[in-house]
Amino acid sequence: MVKFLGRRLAASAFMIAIAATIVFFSVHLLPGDPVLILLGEQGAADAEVVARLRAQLNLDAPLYQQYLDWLGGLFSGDLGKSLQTGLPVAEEVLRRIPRSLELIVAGLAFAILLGIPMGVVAARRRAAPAGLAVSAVAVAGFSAPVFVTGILLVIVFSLWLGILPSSGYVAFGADPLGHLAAGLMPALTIGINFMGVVTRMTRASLTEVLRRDFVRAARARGLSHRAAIRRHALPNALVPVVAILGVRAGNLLGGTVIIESLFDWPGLSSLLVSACFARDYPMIQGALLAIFVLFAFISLVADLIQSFIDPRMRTGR
Amino acid sequence: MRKRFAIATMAAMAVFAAPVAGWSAETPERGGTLRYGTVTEVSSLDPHIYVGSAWKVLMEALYSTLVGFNQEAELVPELAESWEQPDAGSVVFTLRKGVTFHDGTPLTAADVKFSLERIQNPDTGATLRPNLEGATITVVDDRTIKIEKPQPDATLMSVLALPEASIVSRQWMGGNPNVKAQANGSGPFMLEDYEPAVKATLVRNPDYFVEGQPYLDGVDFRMIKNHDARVNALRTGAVDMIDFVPWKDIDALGRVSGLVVESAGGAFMNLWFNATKAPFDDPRVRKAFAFAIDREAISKAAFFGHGTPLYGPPTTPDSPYFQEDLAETFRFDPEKARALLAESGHPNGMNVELGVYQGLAIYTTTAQIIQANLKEVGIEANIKLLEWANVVENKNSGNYDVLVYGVSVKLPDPDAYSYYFGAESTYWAKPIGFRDAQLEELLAKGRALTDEAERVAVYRQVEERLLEISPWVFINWREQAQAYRKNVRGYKQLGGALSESSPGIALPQLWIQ
Repeated sequence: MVKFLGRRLAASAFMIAIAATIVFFSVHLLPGDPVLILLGEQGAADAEVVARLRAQLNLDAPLYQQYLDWLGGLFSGDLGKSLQTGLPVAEEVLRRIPRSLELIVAGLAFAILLGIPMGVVAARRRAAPAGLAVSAVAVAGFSAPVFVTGILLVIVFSLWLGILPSSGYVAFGADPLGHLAAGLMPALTIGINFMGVVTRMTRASLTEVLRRDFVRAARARGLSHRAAIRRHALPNALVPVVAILGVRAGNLLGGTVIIESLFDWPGLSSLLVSACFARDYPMIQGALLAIFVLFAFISLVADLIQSFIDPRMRTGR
Repeated sequence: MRKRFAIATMAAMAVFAAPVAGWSAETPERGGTLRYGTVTEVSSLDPHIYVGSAWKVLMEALYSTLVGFNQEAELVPELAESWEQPDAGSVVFTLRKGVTFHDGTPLTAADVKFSLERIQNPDTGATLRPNLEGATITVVDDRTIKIEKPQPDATLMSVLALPEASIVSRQWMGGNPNVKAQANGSGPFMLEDYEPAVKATLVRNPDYFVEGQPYLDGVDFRMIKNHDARVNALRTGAVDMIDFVPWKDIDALGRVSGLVVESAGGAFMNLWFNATKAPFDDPRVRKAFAFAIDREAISKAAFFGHGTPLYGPPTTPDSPYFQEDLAETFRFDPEKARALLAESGHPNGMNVELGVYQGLAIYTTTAQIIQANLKEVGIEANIKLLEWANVVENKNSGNYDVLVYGVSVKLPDPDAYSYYFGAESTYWAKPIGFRDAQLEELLAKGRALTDEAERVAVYRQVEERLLEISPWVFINWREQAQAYRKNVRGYKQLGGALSESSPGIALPQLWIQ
């Protein structure tokens, strides 16, 4: 187990280092100049001013030098300062991470709690009305674009019923209930989409596993159909489900742009998008680095869960 | 819906304000917090670098200027209680007594000198640096400051009244604070909490120099970039007021009971030509574009009727500088456009690249209609969608054929034309090397005059020359709307150069019923 973990950690670190390097050089190759954006359309046109600001921000140094500086800072935990705000990148990224994670975790929990039982029902009663209904809900859930789901929720719960705020973020410390109310709809939007995926994966995977010999053997040993599913079929069927959840959750770190925009939720995705439009290099690098690290962490957790469910994963056999 | 179309007159703004409709003389109540949803994600609070409309409002709230504008768009004293103009190029200001910054230190002439010199310093990257170039700032005594420009400059007072000319504390700045994230002004509100691009929390400044103001206890700025989210936040009562009402929602929100929408022309849309590069270096080609565009269709489709066509120069009917005959110059006339093209040696039309900002539907829809209009007269336009960063880069490097460009009125004075078209202005002319001697001469003449009647005559010639050479094609006024709940009192939307500042100008006198 320890060996497995060590191997995975080393691989993750290597992957992050490569990705961070690619990001550093590719953001600098983007057309568009952060200095011009900083100065605004009026100030940006004065070549002397532009040159001076570029020097102040150390953007006139050769790219490899900037890379080495950035790398040097990285080892001491310094991600640099935002070109836009002059504030430390690490501070801003750390402020945003929990906001994104809580939406993802809540959405994930919703998706698992509803999606797996629904998937089981759909697999067991594929041709029955219950199974078809569940499948229909699942397909609607993951095929509806998130902005459609989100807007529908806003219309129903905010504009009609008036029970949930239509958008905005409230700090937990300032108002715990307000915080939960504000986060409910964005989390649900993620969850509904996720739930569809979980249901479909569970259904497909379970249907396949149910045909395997070991399930039949379990039934032959006198286990009830229900018990055979719970103890034998489902754990096996969940391995690919966990894998897909890990990848999807990782994607969401920087991929909830639409949801964050729609609900005016200041998370990691909106930070990254704003930074990209402003060509705020240190911020883009910092936000992406955070996403890589979290992504690596999530896939590690997903692997651990899978190896817990399926011991073959640990030994690589 | 209380709508006044007191637009934009970059010219007359300061001089002739439209009368206020329905502005009641109720007694303001004190207290309450205004929750304001803004489109701009303000990422920097540096008081000398403009970053968007909500920034202007924040600066008006946190900082003060020597002079300012009131809700009638008149120039009024702010930090300066009085001033004299010994000649057309200089002003001597006498400062109010007893003004302090939010940190309690007194505001003196030395702070004014420091602030204006900070604007002049190229290291700052200040928005108004070109306007104050060459000015000498002298501290006469603690309460007296003299500003001299090398040439007469009729725009100086208006420039000093803009929030971009805010006065900062010399002592505070000496401590090297991060002015992008902190603030220490002498305005009606103090910064309590700020998260870049997300929110700003302001509380009343108990020592504000205007007795009894502000009425509000505080202002919560929530930066809500998503248009639907911003509108919904107002509809559901999560905020009291929003800016930049999407054009599609102006009429709809106006019909919601309990809400008020106020709009005025704040900017104008244009085609910018690379006027030194063939074939756009020929005025006949540019004028062909001007006649080819169906501005009525653009107003309807892109602005939902809130974009008055602009057939002449960007001066509004309520301005003393308005010339009725010029305002009809480029009525839709595809025949004339084809004739001009033929005359300029392009009887078979041409291919052009039409650069357009991709972030707002008003831009992309405008571009699509123009594309269809141009096709009618034989011009094949390829629309090139650009991110804002690329628009700015292309503009500053002069790397474009034709750009669809929205221009907010830069100054409440017709000298704004110098900013747009002056050969030394890096805004548009300089990057492409455009220079028109006749225009330059007229603009210099106008700037040096103080008598309004004489100025009107000069700026008529300026506008005639502009239409004759048409370096830009003016398309339409862009109404900017604010929407707020009926219990928010004391607001007034101004047009033109004061459009974006309107909420900031109103803030000390806003109150909640």
